[in-house]
Amino acid sequence: MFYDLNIPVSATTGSAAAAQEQLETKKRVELLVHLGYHVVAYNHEVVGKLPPHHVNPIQKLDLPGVNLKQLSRLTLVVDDMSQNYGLNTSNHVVSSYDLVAVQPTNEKLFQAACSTFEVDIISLDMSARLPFYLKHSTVGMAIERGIYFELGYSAAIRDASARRNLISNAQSLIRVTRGKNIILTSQAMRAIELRGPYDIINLNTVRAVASTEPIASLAENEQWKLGTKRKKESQQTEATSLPSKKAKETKS
Amino acid sequence: MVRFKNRYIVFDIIYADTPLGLSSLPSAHALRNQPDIALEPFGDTGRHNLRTPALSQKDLIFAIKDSIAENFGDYGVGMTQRALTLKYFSPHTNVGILRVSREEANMVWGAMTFIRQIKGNPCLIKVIHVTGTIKMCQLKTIAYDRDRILYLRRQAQLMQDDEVASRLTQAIHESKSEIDAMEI
Repeated sequence: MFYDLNIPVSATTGSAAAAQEQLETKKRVELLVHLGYHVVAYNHEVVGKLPPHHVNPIQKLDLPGVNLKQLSRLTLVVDDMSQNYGLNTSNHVVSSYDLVAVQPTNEKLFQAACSTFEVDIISLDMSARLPFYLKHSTVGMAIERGIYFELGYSAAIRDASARRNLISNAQSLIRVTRGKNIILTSQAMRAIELRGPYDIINLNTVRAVASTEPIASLAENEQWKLGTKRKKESQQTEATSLPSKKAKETKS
Repeated sequence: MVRFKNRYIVFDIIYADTPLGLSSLPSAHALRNQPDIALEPFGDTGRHNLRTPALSQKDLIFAIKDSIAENFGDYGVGMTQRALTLKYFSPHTNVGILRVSREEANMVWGAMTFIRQIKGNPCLIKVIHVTGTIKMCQLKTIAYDRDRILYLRRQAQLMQDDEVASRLTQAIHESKSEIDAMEI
């Protein structure tokens, strides 16, 4: 079972751009199904504090007869330590999303995210040089609390310098997390930037990274998360077998 | 002396207008008839999967080699070029078989993942299977090829394009015998 937990969608509805995006989302979803993914999360990104009357804008596609689970995800880009972002389960707006992610922009907020924020995913912009070092002690807190780190690959497919940064950031992330609690997502704005699950797994072996961990990160971890952490929808997730063995055979 | 070992990579090239077979979603052809929606960014590439087999084997192998050079440098090209051969490529279904040396299989696969366009057509390459013997690879390719051709033929029939449909019927037999005849 493969997951792509970051398909960015923007908020506006009713405009021409929104219709265009709807079409593009359909194309991305169509391709995801073709490539063999089973779960997709539409990601809505908000910079700064959530407005008080924020409504979850994500519309799931009507896909009769298609085996694809659709989730909604909120990513909050946080940059101000003094703000209260209200990231807790009692916040109705936040809990209207299936997944909540946070993207800290400086080291202090990264520490706060790892130690106190109630989120599922910590996202960092891996296509640029990270503005701070990842420390094992900080990252370890997040792992203990069951938070996952996100690696988005589509920027690396777009251009070469992003590819270099991603490889270097991925290595440091994998070093400090010891390969645990990493999820791979596409962050693809366009269908052409998506890749097959096994293709992405293979990239991790090219980068001389312990290969089993990223396999788990694509498949098992997310299932665990959905299975235990979040609300009604998650309870419907059945146990699924991890295709890692098959993947290994395919590769080696 | 140890035998030189290869890997065979079965892959599929997916273009912007490749029909993917999700009936509930509008296919690329249906979208094409709606002039108010621009086909950006996956884009109207000007080629049509059912009609224009635009890609030659030579173009494809050059695209793969370029990507190896871009991502892994001269070292990568040097390490891979001895065994790197395109054993089979079907312009109907865009399915192909690439032979690589076993040690560098992951590297070549990685380079293929990073391909974004071939001859100006945006596309992505999906690896279907990796095998150690060409026999298994042939079986996989035949099955996949047949599924794709049958799907394309159904599409052509729905669009009442008899010429393409009959050509595709022929293509099933051609592709099977071609793959079978592939030398080991």
